[in-house]
Amino acid sequence: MIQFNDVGKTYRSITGRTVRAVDGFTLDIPRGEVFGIAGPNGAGKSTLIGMLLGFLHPSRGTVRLSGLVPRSYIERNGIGYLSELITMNKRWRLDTALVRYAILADIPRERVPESVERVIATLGLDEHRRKSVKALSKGNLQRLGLAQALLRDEELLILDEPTHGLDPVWTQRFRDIVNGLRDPGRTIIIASHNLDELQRLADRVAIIDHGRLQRVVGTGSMDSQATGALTYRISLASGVEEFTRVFPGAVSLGRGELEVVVAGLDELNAKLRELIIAGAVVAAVVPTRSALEQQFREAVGEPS
Amino acid sequence: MKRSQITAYLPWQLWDFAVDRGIAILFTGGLMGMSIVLPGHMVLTEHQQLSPEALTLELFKAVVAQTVSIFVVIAASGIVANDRVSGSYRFLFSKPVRQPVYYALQFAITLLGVLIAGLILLSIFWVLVGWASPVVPLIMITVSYLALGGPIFFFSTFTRFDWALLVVLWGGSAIARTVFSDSSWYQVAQWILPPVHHIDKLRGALFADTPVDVGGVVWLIGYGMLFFLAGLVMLERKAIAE
Repeated sequence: MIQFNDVGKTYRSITGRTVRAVDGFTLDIPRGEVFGIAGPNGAGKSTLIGMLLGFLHPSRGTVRLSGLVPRSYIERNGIGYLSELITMNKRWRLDTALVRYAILADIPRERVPESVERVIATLGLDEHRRKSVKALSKGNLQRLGLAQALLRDEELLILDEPTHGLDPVWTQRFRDIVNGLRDPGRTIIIASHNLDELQRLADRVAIIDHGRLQRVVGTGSMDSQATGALTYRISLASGVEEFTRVFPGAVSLGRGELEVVVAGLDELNAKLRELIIAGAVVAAVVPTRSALEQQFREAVGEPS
Repeated sequence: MKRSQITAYLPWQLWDFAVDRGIAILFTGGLMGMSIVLPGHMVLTEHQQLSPEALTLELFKAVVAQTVSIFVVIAASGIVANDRVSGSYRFLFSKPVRQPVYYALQFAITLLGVLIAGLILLSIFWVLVGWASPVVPLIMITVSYLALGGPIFFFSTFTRFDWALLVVLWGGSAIARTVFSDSSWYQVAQWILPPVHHIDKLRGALFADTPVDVGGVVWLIGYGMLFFLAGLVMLERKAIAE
């Protein structure tokens, strides 16, 4: 569906100074995948998405959507796109903004009201429908941005920082929406700083830094495991005295909660088994950071 | 972009023009018109023995001469640049929409909008001052828009200072024609510089009801349309965010 082939992007200022935003980026994203893009600030995520939409041309290499250059694909098919910055005419009213985008999305005229009402209901925007864009809160503006991206059943959705500004209820609602959009014929790209969100939603996540693809991580339970040590918080209902014997290096956090460092899942499970056989009752085992976060920190060179 | 999209979206583009530019044109036109008509009326009635019809015509000529170009620049500036600067192109062009087609439509709608704004201002003139034929101002708005709007449109594809570049280009041309018209270099440059003087010639001929220099008008409009086409090529070939 999406092919980046040795893509590079260099910005040149008027004074001749150059900044290499993306360098040697090669990646294939098949149809039907929910794919995450993660990276620190300035890693090149926005440039990559700009090239994916044809808003920027690569300095070298090629970007293809279903074999077409991005603008050709979008001009023929359209895509659902939520940009990081929600920018539209501030005088537009929420409902008429959606009508405009529905027309531009080539939704037949007789189906425009139905499509607009559907996304207004899905995104809970009914009480704000007569407000102007400038009167919307950050969260409602984000929901409007998402609503215009969902007006039509697109084969490709690109969501850049989709939960930015959303409250916890709407963050969870957004996850439900994305999960509902999963389809073998639909590709969803999510760029986010929120690694927990990518871990929950994406099938694979590309970690980029300094414009380069550092690694692609599967978020399934096995292949998402980082290569380094893992840290867990273990809560016990009883048997704290057994714990320090099984996990000699454990750090007590109080209230029956302890933090342990293990080499991997095998070691963790073996020691938990030993602990339970010894009579301890385990109430919870929670990784202090997700496996994706662990991978991210390793990939971008930060201490884990 | 399909015909169904275009016809359904046109009213929204016209509405956006009315809110974003039309009100500004009416406001500017009203103020400028008053600042020309009131002192002009006093001077002409005091020093010249004119019939009411002739007085109205003289005031009308002065208003048309001094306002049309300004309306056109207000209307045409920022057609592409405003979307580029604000980032609102992002949602627009994630839809199945070709950028050159979208902005060509915007250019056409803007002409329609400025003609409607001109008619509204004319009707105010008719009520407050007297009747004058709308033909000359509507022709002048159309020709000036095509001549001036083309370069603004082109500049708008790569800079937010589109109107400023137009002022430099047309102002430079007018100054060069006045100061260096006898120079040998100007004899060559006059074919490259915008044919500013043909706007005044056309307006003079239309008001005097004398034959119009058709070649000059074609040059004037052709000059603007060449820039307009160059703008469309820019939109086709250049990435909008660069």
